Amino acid sequence: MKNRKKAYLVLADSTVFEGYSMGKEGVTIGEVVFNTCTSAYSDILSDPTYYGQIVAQTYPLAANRGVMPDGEGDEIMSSGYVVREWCDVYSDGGEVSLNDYLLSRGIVGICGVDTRRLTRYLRDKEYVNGAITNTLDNLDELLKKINEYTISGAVREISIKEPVVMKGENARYNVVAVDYGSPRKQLNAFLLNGCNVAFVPAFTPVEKILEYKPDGIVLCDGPADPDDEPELIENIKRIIKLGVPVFAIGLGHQMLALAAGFKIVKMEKGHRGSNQPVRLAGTDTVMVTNQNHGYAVQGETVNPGKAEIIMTNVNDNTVEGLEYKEFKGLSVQFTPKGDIDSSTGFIIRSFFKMMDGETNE
Amino acid sequence: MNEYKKILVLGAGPVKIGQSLEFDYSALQVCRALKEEGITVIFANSTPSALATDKMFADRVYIEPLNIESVKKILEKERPDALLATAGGSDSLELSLELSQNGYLEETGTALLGVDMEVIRSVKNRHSFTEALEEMNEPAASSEVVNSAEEACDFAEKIGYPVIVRPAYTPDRESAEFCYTKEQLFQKAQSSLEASIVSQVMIEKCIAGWKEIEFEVIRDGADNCISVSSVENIDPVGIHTGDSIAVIPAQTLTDSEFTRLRRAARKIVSRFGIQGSCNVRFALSPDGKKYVVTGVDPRFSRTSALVSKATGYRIAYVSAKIALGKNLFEIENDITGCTTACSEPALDYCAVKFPKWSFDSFGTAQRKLGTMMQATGECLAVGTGFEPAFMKAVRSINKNHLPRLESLCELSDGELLKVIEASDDRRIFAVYEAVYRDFPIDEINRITSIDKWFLHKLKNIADTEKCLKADFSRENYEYAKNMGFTDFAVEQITGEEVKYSLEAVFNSIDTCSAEFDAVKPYFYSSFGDDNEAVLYLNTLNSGKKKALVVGCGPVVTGKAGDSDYCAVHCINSLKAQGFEVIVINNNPASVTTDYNVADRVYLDPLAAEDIMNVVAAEKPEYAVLLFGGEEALKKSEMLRNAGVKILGADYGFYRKITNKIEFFDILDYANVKHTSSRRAFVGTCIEAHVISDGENYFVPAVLEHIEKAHINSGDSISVIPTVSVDNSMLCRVEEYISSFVKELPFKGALDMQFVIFDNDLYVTKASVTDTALVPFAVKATGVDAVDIAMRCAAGETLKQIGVQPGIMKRPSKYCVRVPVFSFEKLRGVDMLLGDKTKSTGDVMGVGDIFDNALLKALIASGMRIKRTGAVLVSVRESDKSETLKMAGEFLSQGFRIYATSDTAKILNSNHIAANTADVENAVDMIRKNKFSYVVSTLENSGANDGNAVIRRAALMKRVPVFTSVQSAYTFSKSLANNNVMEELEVNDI
Repeated sequence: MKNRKKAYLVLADSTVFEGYSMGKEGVTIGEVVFNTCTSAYSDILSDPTYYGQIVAQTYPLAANRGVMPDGEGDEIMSSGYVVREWCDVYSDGGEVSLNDYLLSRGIVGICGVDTRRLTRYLRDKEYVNGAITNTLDNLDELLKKINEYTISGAVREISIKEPVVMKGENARYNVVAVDYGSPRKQLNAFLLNGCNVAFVPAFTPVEKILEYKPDGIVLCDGPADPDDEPELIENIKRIIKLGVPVFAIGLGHQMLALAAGFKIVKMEKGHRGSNQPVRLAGTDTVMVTNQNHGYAVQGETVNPGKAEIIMTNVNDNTVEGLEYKEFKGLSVQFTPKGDIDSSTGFIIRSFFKMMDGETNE
Repeated sequence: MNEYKKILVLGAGPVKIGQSLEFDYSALQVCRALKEEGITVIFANSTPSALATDKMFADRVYIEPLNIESVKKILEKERPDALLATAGGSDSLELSLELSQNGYLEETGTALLGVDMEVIRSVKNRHSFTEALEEMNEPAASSEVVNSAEEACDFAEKIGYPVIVRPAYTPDRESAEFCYTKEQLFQKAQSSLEASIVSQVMIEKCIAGWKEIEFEVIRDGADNCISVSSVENIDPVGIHTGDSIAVIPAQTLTDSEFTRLRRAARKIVSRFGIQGSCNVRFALSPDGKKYVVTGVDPRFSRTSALVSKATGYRIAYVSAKIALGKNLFEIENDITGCTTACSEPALDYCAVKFPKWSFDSFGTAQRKLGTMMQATGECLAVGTGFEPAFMKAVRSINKNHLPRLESLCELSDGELLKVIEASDDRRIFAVYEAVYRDFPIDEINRITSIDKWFLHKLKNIADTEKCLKADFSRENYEYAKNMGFTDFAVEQITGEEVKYSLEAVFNSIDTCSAEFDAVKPYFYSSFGDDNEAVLYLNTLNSGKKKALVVGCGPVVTGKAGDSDYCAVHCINSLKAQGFEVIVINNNPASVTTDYNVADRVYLDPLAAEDIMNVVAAEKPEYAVLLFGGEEALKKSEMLRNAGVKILGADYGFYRKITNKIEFFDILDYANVKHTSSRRAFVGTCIEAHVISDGENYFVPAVLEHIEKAHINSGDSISVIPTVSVDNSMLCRVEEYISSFVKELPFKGALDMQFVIFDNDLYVTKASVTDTALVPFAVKATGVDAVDIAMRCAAGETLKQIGVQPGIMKRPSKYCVRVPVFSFEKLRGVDMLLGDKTKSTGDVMGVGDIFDNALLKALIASGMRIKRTGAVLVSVRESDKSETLKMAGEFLSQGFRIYATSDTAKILNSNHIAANTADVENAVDMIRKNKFSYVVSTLENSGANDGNAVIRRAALMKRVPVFTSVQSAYTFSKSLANNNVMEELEVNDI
């Protein structure tokens, strides 16, 4: 039998879920969110939108094939991991078990939790902090810490420190991608589709960006609250005046909306999973997208003279995509795929058309 | 949306191996989906045992043969705007394509919905399929069509052994053989060339041992495409998916393997332009590096039903809406109440499917599993992990709830390995036994190609078993319960009474992993913190009295669609009577597990502990057990002890009428004559469905069997009304029933069988669980016998129901029921009938005269009617007088008679000209299509018995075989009397 050391997931209102320790033993605090993906666990762990969050996997069997440590960009971003059951690794492909992976990265996890009950607890709450701990001694002190916890300075913390220039295949465009903590994988959509990418830190001034002579600027995804860093919004306000096409994803999309004067709301029910249906407004096209966000652009505040809502969520009608009118700009709440056969593959191509100088009809 | 006002929906025909109840489930969903849009629904099917042939949703129903002629007639009569055939399996799809291909649909202005001719053509033909995939840059298994055994061997040299040989253009695409050597291939290629209509065979690279992964994809007209779920077959390629243990979702793929296959599946469906549901099958090499597409099925399938039940996603319903022009995001998900069909189901559990074989009922069948499906049914088990789901599946199949079979425990290691290598129906249990004995996992993996992940999971179960045996502590007990062991299983392992307890809870199947608060979830048991069923029930509080209906479990021969049919009628009846109805069942193909049928569904095994878990959560006042057969009835006492009253038959009553001694005693007291074992009673068999309110009785129909010998009533051809029983005898039937009901009063229904022998009437048996003929009787009489019986059971009197006691008036039309068998799918099975049921389903023919009804039913059963040619006769001495009549009738209609030597002597000495043919000759002539019919009634004396060989040969060549002289005689007469098929009328029932 596996390690059966007791561990606990304690939530801000002192609700306790019992389980067993997984990965590093100890205490970790974060915002507790769930994710409904059945696979893609390694992507979730390394996804910076989970920075400062303790992620609970609703699918009960985590990492059946273990985790393939692929070196670059596999830094774990989440503060903790909650599963019902993890699995030893039996294949010969060089994968390591989830337990070993978390151990080697120093991440605290918990298994044996009734994740379904946890999800039902979390689903109607805007924001729940919690902690994974191996002891319930000094619970009051822990609860105090949990309740005081906020995710701040996340982008500053995880954005790259020095610019990196990457050559794309058969490159036709030069793109500057501003990193708010996005996974490197996100850049593949550009690199594999004819773009050279200059991956620059979040706080790179506009003048520096221009030095790369960009055909387009990409505002990448990242974690936490888009209001967190006003300086970044100011920066974006300058970027959109450059006349260079702008493409924004996730956090970038939200900050771009703020820069354009629209408002952001904390959602009643965040989007947490791989099956979020997004409809292309005015068409019958729906895309199945992978999302993790608790904030959204407030649709009513989108000035129709300045931008058009081009995508909405089928379930709750929240804004999923905007096309700007005063400057060449396109933004989406989720990560579009680069693959032409993917239902979201056309989005990046719309951006390429913008860079080509074509207008989107 | 398209403006269709009237649509003809084609059903799938009778239940056969490879085609269980799933098409009744899908047809009902389709009819419901169309009805919601205000469309007039016309439904056609040949079987009476389908719920879709009741007018639940359909406006008009035709129970007619599913062939070109009769469907044309229905189309002419009804003039629908469109034809929908994607929910009726491959046969009805084929039929609709034929109608489309010969231009008939276009001529009559009938649109063909849900399917594209071009697509079907390219996926059905292996050559064009491979080409189409190549165009999409998707890999197909490399294959080549060849015309000779030599060419076959040449191609095999190129791609390397082993290879798969398939005859081209045979009705059954799955008839494939593996060849490992040139000698094997040469031989197999030759026999396959013979079997192929066009004398061609397909040689394919063998990918046996690769992982078999399926995706169920659904796409709308706007090119929105989602993958409903993945399915992983634990048994790798080489064992038919219908015979494989499967798990949903796929478990052993890495992220990138999974993503790659899912993307490929969606791409293929999108590029083919398929609208509606589609099953895409892949073979993935064990190292995960290579994959090939092995199949694309653009219609509702067995897997669709499985995935629907495992996820809560209504695949058939959604496909029907798409066929009408709706898009995924316009179709409601009624489980969550707040999402749409474009949300891919997110699962937070694991579902395991076990096949259920019926080899025991078939007698001598070879049990080896291969590329042809042999399972008759399946069960689905859901758990929060693989182990508990697997253990639930085990107890749905094994009475002792354990994965260790006694018969395997006794084997030596060497013998055990042989069983594993033989890969028969005991395979998974043999693998478990090996794991239990600590055979190296790598070694088992090498032999079986079952992924090590699964083997390690089995090891977890085995370790749990051993831990428990070594130390029956509370901790180990709780651990075992979490792994899926029942208390009953624990008792057997430990040999001790269980002194602990752990309460089960229920989780919801809600399509969304609890992301939303579902409004209509269904449930499975697990061990966890919250009981969601109880939480859900607290929000309802309907105040109604509750009844729990125990379902039929996996389909086995003799307990087929009819149990599920009756159970659904029972549910509807109880609902109409004001009950809140709860179902527990584990059959994913059944209609009872459709969450739109009963008020609540528990998708769990039918073991005592599982039923009691539901009772604990629901606290029903009543339970109905009789549709679950003997095993369910055995739970009568347990339920009564828990304060639950049994509606309808309970175990005590069942025992009374099943135990021959007790039953005959009751008959003696009632002064009712009955058969005895000391004499042979060969005469006309009749059967009555008796409903009683405890005082009076009502018989909706008396039916007559065509065969005079004692074969299982479900396997005999039967007719309503009787054709050779005079009124005085029917009065005797009434007297007998009346006396019996007085002697043994009951509230509900039972089936009573009689034989007329020497102009006297004898009761042969009675049954409460044999419901094979009920759906037929319901259709023939128009009386919902189940409803009346359930009302009686719940306390109403026949008078209150408004039913006139006694035998109902003879219906004006003749209805004939013909059983359907699946012999062609089973190796080494003889067609001769007997005590045990061998039929898997039934068809029905309706006509103004008996002969027309019989002919229609025979045509519906798939028989090819010929009016000329030769008849081969090989019969028992005891059948002599009947044989002479029968042979004489054929002769007088211009048929030539051939007979085996003994039979020929009898015929010729009675002035009926018969040519003599020995077995070898006869078989040769059958292979050369020289016979129109074969009449063969002689017992099978062993493996290579001549008569069995003759019947087998005829079966393979699809020559109609009569195993009863009476049915052959009745048939020959109806051939003389009836009109040609083209002139037979089709009618709404």
